[in-house]
Amino acid sequence: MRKQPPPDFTIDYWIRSSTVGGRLRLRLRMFLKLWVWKTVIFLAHGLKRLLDLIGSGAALIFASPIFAITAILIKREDGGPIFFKQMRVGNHGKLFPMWKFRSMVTNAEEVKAKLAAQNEMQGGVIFKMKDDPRVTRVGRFIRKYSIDELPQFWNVFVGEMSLVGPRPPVPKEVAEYSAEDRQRLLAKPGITCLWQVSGRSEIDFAGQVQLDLAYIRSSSVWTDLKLLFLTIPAVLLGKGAY
Amino acid sequence: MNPAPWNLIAPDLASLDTIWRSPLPFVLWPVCEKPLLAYWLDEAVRRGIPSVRIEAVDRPHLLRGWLDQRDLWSRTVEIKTTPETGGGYESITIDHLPSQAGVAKIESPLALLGRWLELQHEAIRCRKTGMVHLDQEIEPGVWVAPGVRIAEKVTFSAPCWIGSYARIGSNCHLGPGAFVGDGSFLDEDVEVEDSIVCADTYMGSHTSLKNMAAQGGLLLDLKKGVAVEVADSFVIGATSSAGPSLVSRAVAYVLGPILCALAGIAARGRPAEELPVRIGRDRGIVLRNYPGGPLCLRRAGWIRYVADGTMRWVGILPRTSADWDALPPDVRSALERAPVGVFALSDLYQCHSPSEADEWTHALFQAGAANGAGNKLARNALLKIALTKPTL
Repeated sequence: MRKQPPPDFTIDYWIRSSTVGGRLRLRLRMFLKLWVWKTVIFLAHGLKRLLDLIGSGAALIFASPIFAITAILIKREDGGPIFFKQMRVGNHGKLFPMWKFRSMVTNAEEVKAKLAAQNEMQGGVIFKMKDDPRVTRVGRFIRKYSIDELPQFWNVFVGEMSLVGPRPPVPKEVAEYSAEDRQRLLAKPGITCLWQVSGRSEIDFAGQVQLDLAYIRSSSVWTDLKLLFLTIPAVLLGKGAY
Repeated sequence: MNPAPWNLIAPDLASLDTIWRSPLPFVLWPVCEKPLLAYWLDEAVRRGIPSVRIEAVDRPHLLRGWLDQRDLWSRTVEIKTTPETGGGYESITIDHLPSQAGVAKIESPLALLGRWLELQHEAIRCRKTGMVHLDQEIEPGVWVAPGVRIAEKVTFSAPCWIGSYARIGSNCHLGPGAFVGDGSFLDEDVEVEDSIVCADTYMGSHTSLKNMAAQGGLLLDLKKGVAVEVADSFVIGATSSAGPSLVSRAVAYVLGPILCALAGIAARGRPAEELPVRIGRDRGIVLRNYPGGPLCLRRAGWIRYVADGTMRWVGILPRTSADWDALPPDVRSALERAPVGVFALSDLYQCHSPSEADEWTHALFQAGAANGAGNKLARNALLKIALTKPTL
């Protein structure tokens, strides 16, 4: 049960507003409380962006040798482009170009239409299959250890993505989303997220949405740091990645 | 068989919105976390409706703007300003939620506000069907959005909804029927029952709302149909000040007396004219107009209101009650919430008084242009405007 404040206390509080000094004190109290709360909100958003900037900046610098080796290997394999740019759906449904190392043959989209019947992502709208014939030899290796995802640190650095957040879907997937699924677009997309850490591609689409929403609800810098550390073993073990 | 496309009729209730005088059409009024229209678009997705046509007479540009901010609705949504027949469309009037059936037509200003509260209750009631929600149900019938901080000793009575990044102080009691918008701040010992606290509203300690709606400093009695503007922001107000910045106010403190002295000299003994104007909904102030010199001297008497935070340096021109009454209702509702300034965009086009025929078109652009483009235009030409000598 809620404890009612004593009437004298409430009366005393309001008596303060009858004098100029009292009103000034109440105004100052309100101003300070609002300022503190706004600062908390600003830090909640600002620290996440700061973590993204430092994390992605450091990753771009320290992973530059891997970038160079991967670029040479991809170019040597079939002479096609090194990077693969795909339009993805970001925060609040805004489109942005997401960068990856190319891991598939150059005419992958044409082949995909022929393979649609073998989609292993049941009950959802995402296309995934094991032993996908479109994946190149180098592509299979860089996918297994998530090296193909490294260029996304650039997307994080420029603010289109975050280190941690729901994976960005392609527009075609979003067109098939239900009203509930659409809620996962209410956060900035990320390189890693809860479902990637907990089982990666092995979780069905409904489970992914549930985990994405759970992340958005509990989003904080501390959660992000925890998920980033959990991502490292998941990536090194190549768990759930094709 | 594919379901028939929808023709959603956004009812023109602007003539009934005489109490709140909302800047938004009814279909964009907030119902918990999203506007009423969003519930219908979500329902269209849920039922697999291939395309949606929205028939809107009341401020369709706001509907277009709202839809433009949302990319990739998976259905085609178009807005029409004139009624259209044919095409096999199923017509639905959006004055209720998809889960409601057999609701009465809204016929009075009080019924409009009553329906608004009813919609909030219904939005919470229909959440119990086990749908996936970003908000969390912390107690049966009490829903909390992400980022909310609730202090100790807060009690709830269902139904309740608290929007994202709201702060609930200690010893508050919310509900039954408490709907607190995003970013609102409820200080200690606040009671909210059958009431709506709109987004970004501050409620001071030891305040109580029952059958009311609060938006910034505006209080609406949902039972009696009365609107009151509260002057003391520590009782109830907006969480962020809409007034001029501290620098603008400091400049006004310094420049005001100097320009007033110069205006007195330029007037050459002629008396200043006093002009009673109405700011916002109800606040009245008296402006002193000096008779000679450029605009910066003629309006030197206005600068004291920039110093006290009532006006800005750049905004729409202040209006007398007669000027407000002469405006069409939709223009009036759009301008009422626009900040009032010493210098306006209309000054750039030689319209120096609200009584001039073209002034309100400039004011409307200044108030409604995207990203404050109208104000930017006026600010860029501020020196030119300030030194303009009006030809009266």
